[in-house]
Amino acid sequence: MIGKNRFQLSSQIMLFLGGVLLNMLLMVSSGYAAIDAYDFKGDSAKERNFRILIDELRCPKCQNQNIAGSDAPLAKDIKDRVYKLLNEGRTNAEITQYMVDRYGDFVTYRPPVKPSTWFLWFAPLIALVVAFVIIIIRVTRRAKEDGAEIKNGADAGRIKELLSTYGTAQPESDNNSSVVKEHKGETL
Amino acid sequence: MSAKIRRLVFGIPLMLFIALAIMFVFAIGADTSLLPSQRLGKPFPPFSLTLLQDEQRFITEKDVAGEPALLNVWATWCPTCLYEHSTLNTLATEGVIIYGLNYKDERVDAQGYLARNGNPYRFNIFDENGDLGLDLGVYGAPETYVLDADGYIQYRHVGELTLTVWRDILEPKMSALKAVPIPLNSAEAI
Repeated sequence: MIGKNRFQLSSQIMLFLGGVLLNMLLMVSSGYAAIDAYDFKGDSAKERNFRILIDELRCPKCQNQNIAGSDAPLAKDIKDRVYKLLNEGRTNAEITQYMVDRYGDFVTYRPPVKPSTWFLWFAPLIALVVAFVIIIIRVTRRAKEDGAEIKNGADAGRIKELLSTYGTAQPESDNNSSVVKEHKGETL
Repeated sequence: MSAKIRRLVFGIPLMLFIALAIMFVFAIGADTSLLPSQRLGKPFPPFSLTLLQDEQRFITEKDVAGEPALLNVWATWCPTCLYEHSTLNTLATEGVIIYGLNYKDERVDAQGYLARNGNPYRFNIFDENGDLGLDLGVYGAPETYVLDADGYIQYRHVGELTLTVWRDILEPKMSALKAVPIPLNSAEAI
């Protein structure tokens, strides 16, 4: 009984986490259309770096768009500059820093980890851990309570009464845990 | 469940909600598009561009140094620039040094604009491609920078320059800069 209860809950949690992951994957994809105007002469590594950069650089003018997805003149200027710097042989980190020097941390969708951004980076993780701890505490406590109450003689009598009302026999069977659960839910 | 834990379970989300609500109340009306300049306290970025009024003549960052001054980023496609132009004209007649950065514009259009609306600028840097704008961290016109006598950027105002902004923010900064002794290489005028 207890085992199944626990299994149901944990499978719900897994389903939820799976959904969250799927969402994150879907959100990663974004516009690559803007790359066509830039010719990398077959240098696929450079082209890949260009895509990474224009995907991670945020347009200062049209906030909440990356420069890949923005048609703003400023986004084009930044793309042009990124292209120029790549052809000068600069690395992605150097180019990101170059833009941060001009537009601030705002310009990158991957802000640096530093005291002022700790909350940004670690708050989701902390929230997740706290949520997990709360869920685990509550699940184990409820499981204990369930066990205790069913052993109680008064409850056992009530269960029998309920079973006869609803007409499902086989009180020993595991299937009836849901009935017990339902009733408990009503009285809580 | 004990009353204490129950109070916690209901109390924590409530407290979080109240904290968020207070945060949001203070955020209402704040302009989220304002970005702090990364260039404060830094020298004017090196450049070599032509004058708006003379495409043969190149100027550099040395030409904006010498005395504390304003540098106004403007363009003919920018409605707010036209809106603040009268303020710039007023300041120029009061003797404030204003350099112009004509940003991503057409030379002929910009020259016509100054002929029509008056020219408050000591000179204009013609930044057709926005290269200097990018080095300055310009993300829209108008922007107005306060430069010290060494050409270091001391302040940036984003958006319309009004007489109130001038009186309350820019003028105090300029007078503070003027109080500092002028360095030796200050005589370079254009």
